Amino acid sequence: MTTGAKELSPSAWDLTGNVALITVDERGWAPILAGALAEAGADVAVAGASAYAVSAASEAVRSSGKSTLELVGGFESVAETRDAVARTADELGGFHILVNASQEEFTAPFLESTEEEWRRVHAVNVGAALRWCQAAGRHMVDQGGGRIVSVISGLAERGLVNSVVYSATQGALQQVTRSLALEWARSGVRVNAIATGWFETERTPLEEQQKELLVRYLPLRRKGHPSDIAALLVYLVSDGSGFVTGQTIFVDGGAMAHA
Amino acid sequence: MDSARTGGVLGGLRLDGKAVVITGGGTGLGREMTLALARAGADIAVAGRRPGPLNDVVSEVNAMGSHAIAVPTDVTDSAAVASMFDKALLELGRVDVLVNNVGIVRGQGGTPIWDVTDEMWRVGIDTNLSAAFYCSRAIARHMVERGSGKILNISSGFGQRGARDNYMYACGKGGIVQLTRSLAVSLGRYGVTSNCIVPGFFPTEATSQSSMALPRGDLIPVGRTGRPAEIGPLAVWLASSASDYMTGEMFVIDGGGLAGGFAPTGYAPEKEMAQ
Repeated sequence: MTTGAKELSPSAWDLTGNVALITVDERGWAPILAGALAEAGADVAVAGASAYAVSAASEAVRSSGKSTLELVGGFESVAETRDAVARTADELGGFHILVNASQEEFTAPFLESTEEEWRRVHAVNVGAALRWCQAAGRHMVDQGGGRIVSVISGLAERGLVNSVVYSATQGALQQVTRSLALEWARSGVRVNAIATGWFETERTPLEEQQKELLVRYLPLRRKGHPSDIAALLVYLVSDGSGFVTGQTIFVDGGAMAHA
Repeated sequence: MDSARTGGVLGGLRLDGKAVVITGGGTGLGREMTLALARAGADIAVAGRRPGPLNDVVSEVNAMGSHAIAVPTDVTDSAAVASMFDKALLELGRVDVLVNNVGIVRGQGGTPIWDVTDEMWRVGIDTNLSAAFYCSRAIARHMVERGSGKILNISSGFGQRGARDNYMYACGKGGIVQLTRSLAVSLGRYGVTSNCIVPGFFPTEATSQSSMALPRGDLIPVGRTGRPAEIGPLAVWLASSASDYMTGEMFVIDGGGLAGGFAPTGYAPEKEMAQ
């Protein structure tokens, strides 16, 4: 039963020869996630509306010695996401991995939120992921393989006060993950998600963090950091996870086990 | 390469200097995890009932230059579990990771509830659930005192869904999920995490002797069964510091089986509507 064992570890994590596209926002996670993909060997295109965020993530790829492509735009139509996928494939020499890592967080009492806000948050969080999945998936299904990972929130599974609209979009993304995984399972395209708990990009000292009731309530008693999901992201887009699809992996300091 | 930025994303997966105890590590998925963990650099104590398979995997690990010992143990006997950990601690100096892998599939299905004897129930629950509890209980304080440790449990897709005429396996593996969560919530504050791998169907020597109804590859969304070696990279990640912020979670590796749940694989409603 050891067939294949050698190639599954540790070279299973190696992304050399793979081209990824990651969508980015201004939360500051993208340089860490794009950098991890590059460190594992992938060339990485970076797409987003914020030129600053795109450039920061691209710089992280470059500093790992890998090729990168900066794609700044709104990507508000499938035509635009298809162009971005085609350009990535042309300029970086292929297209194997899509990471949806762009989000708009939104907090408001439901009675005070407007239809315009509902539409925007759904468009940014769900609509964009669907557009990227279809553009990337068309390429992946045609070539008989690919990996898609969406970085979403634990609010896909848990409710939260003042988060009706945002948690609705996260639940939608978890269902996109499950159903798309099944639809493309026989085409060699795997679709998974990472759901994060309470994360921050600055590293607040533990003592400061634990002044907050919620942090003291978390089993691991600290907030998460984007680097806490870096290796998992690499695993999920690598050949090492060939039998994993349709899953949402929660990395949340134990919140889900507790609540 | 700026490995400081991500803490060294691949370097963080190394297990050099880590001591692992794995139960049922001589056969099936346990054997694959033992080999993968050893390849990542861990020292390993392999516990299990039959000395033959334990000695085989230990020789294989030692031949690759890592360090392993065989500790023949009936892990359903809590006194034997205590001596097993005494021996592991003596030989390895500490235990950083416990992999509760032992389980039994033989004789675990295909029996209507009225024919399940007390003895069948006892053996099934002892092996599929109590063994993991005994091992976790025996080593938890050691991990808490050291301020770090990882308990990795192996559940099953049958721990998430019901199975016809299958009681001990489904209940034991479901119990493993709750053991995982309670360990996580209780020990997290001391730096000890607990997670659970939920494998779908991986053909092994044990499943070939099973009386349970097991899925064929063509009934699994990805179109094939799991390859036992595929559990290795996941076990390495969960045993490594790269997974430190994850606890109390289930990681399903099943080719898409649970994502679809009850819907037959390939079921596409529009085909039905077109008829």
